[in-house]
Amino acid sequence: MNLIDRAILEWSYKTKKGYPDINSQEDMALFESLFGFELGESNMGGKATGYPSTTGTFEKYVRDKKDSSTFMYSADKDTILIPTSEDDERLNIKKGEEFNIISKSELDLIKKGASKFATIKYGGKEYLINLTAINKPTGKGVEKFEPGDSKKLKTGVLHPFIPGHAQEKDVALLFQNASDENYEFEHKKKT
Amino acid sequence: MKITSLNIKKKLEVTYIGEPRGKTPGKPKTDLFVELKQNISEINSNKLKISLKAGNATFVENWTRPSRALQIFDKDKLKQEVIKIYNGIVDNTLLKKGTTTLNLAFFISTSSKTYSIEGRGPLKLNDVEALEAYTATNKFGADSELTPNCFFKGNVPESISEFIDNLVPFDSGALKYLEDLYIHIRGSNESRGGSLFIKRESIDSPWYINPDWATALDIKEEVVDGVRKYK
Repeated sequence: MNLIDRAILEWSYKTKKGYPDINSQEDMALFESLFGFELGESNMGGKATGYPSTTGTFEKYVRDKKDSSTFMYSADKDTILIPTSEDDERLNIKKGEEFNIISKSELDLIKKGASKFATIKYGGKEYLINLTAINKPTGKGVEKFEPGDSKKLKTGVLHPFIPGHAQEKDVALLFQNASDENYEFEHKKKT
Repeated sequence: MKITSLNIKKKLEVTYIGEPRGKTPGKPKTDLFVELKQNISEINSNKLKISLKAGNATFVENWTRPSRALQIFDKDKLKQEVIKIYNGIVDNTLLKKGTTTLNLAFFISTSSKTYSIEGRGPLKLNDVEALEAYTATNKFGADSELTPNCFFKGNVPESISEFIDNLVPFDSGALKYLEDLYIHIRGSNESRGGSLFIKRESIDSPWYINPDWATALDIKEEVVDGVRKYK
């Protein structure tokens, strides 16, 4: 039995069900108490596979993600949002709360000390958030079609749904992304 | 100066993007519903009820019940085909490799090789039948959001205008872009009620036409020398 097997076995023995459930807060807290670190999903800081720079994860999951402008990202932990406007105040955001990312590329990120911050839209206002506080959208989250409409002046036009196949999502995104903030677009009718 | 083509620009506004609204026991034929404030002359409507699967469809009607089959086919035509299918399965000439299943289920697909009768393959749907199978206008109603009024095939372009230019209205002209459709027989041991149009109780029992189908199609049964005959 290798070290990883032993660790999982140890964790399993102490859970109520006899096996760990990563969706159970209790089981995840137990893991942290046993091994001294949190087994969470990784965040948007640092490099990613195929993206070796220090902002690689951001490049992969925001800059190069086709639907990033409408995708709902979430906070990886409880954190503070810094307002971009002096008229607004700092805000606390809870882990799991969702927002849109406004920064489109690594060049749009703002450096504060050793940390890099992305601009997000949350509750109708713009804030800065540390990249390490943004949850990296992996697994099912990438496939979920629930784009935000924070860049639009109108709401309630796009209704989230579960696409039967990828093309449904692509066409829905075309109407969402290729129309302006009023959901208007120019149609050149050929005659 | 001769003008050969003219581009007329028009500003359009999207008011709804999502699934078609409305209740259906099965799946709607419209895959994505987009509503605009203004009419699109190519579709003659402000509602883009888009079928995206149509271009590469295989199964167009699944587990078809007699009530749905009668929305697609003329009753007498369907009746004759069902009786021929029954005779073929009894004579063991219907399916190339026979079947060990207890039921035959009724589908509609683009496959032209699922059974053979009198030297031909499966019954090919005519234009009216195929259009109904693709759109389900008789099932949901022409005005329903569940009934598509256009389809799109190919890669999604970068502009909405180009996408609209490539939409094909669902009229009889659309069929030249769509594959031919055929009745599709599928052996099944699943419990699928009304779509199992020919059945038997066990592998050694005789076949019979599901009474629901027989009633719907006015098929009469008589027993000749211990064998069920239908007319």
